[in-house]
Amino acid sequence: MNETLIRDEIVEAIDDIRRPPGHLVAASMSAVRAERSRHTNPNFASAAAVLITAAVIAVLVVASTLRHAANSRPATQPRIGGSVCSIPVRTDQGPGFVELPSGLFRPAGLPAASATAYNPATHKWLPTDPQGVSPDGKIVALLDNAKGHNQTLRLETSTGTLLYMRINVMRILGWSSDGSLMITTVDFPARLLKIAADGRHAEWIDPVGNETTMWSFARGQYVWGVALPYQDPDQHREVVRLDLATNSVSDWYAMLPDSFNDTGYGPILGLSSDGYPIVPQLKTNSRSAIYVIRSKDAPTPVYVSSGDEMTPNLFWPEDASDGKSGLMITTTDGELYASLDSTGLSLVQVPNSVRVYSFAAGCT
Amino acid sequence: MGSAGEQLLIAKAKQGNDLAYEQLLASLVEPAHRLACGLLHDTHLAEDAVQEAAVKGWRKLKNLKDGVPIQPWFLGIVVNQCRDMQRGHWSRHVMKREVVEPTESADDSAIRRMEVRRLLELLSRQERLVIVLRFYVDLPWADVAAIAGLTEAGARARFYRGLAKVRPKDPAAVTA
Repeated sequence: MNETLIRDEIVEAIDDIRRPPGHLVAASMSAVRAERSRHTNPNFASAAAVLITAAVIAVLVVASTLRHAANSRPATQPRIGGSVCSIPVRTDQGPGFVELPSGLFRPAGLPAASATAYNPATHKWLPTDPQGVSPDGKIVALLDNAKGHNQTLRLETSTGTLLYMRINVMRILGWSSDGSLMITTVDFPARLLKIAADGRHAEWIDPVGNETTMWSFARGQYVWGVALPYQDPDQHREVVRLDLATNSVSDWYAMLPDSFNDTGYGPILGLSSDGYPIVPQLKTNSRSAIYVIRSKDAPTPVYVSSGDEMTPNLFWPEDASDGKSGLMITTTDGELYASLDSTGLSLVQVPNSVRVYSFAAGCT
Repeated sequence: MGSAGEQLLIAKAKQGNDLAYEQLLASLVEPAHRLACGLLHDTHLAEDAVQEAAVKGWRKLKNLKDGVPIQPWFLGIVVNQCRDMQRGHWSRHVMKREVVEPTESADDSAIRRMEVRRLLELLSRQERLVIVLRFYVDLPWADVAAIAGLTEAGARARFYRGLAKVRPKDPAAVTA
């Protein structure tokens, strides 16, 4: 057996047990911030730790009680009705489709690492982020992260013709109004790279008024990101918007203190169907909520968790998808929430304990 | 990466800018998780190892010399973290977890993958480390040697010695 074959065997053997770590950056940063808080103010931190531990225990007890109650009374769960669709997802059991409203999971039977996005136009699973598929599905930006160096981007037609290739890609952001692909790179993290859909030219964009921004999503005329606009000991973050017509960056929304962004979740989960950022945030009464920020400094709540100040019902969003079938959210616990009718977000009961972590495309 | 862009982010992160550190982590977690999974053979333990390494990396970032690329340095922290976890948990739990017991219903390729994992677990720590770094994280020999704390020649020697132990013993498999 030659070296290439044994290499393939070893890669397959480890791939067999590995789930790509979609949420690991957020979880790691949450741990980093907790560490920093402990060092910044040890007395406060120890007191806070006691309080947080007590709160977590209380929440777990309440959640467990509620879950038990829900399991024993399934008829009282809010029913999801309305339109029927099938959403491609990444789960702990590999990629597949969740049928709505039934919640039935249909595995795609593909390795998790090579099937992270779905192109509804060609019905193909692809190794990329969902925003790597162009709006019409004719161009796809694939990511190869199997190498030890940084991700390699391949811009291809949906039939596999290579248009453009680049190493050191940090993130695929999405597609601009003129059909160009927007990405960030590790070579120049403060800039954005705009690649024409035919792959024939690419231009750097230097955002004006940008300090340290992590760019998250692009659609149409705007690119959305999160910035640290000023020296703040608590490092509260600001959602910012880059206008591709002028390359200027403007503040859009200052995340509230004690919001999810301070625990590493988010802040931008995705874009709404009309192109605005969807962010999770703790409310002042400790309940969790999801907002769409369609106007500067004016977030619109699209979901507020149940519970009250003493027994908040927290959930920790991981991914969002919004389209014709309404808003859908996944949580770090692998729960899927969908809003397929007028009652708002409801938990979808996916049989066989399938944990849904993120979306591979919108619901079709 | 090792680029000017990376050095800019490292400089900002050293000043306490956690968004800069998050951007650095964004390109580190994938190879780090591959490495941890290759060493621990458990995707969830691997996530724990990377998360802990991220905290230690943040704490020790000031020790990273100017101009030095962050990836080999960070992967070195991941290796140490995996070693600590193996001492405390893995050797008691995970090593006993997977026993290859072929059944009529299991397909041959799945059995072979389990067998390969079992053979990897039987290697010495450094043999397994250099094989995972070279084959699964796909690093150049210089980085493999630096992370493993070996010379390049030493890393290659352990690599080929380990590889010989993972090759199938079944003559039919050799000709396949």
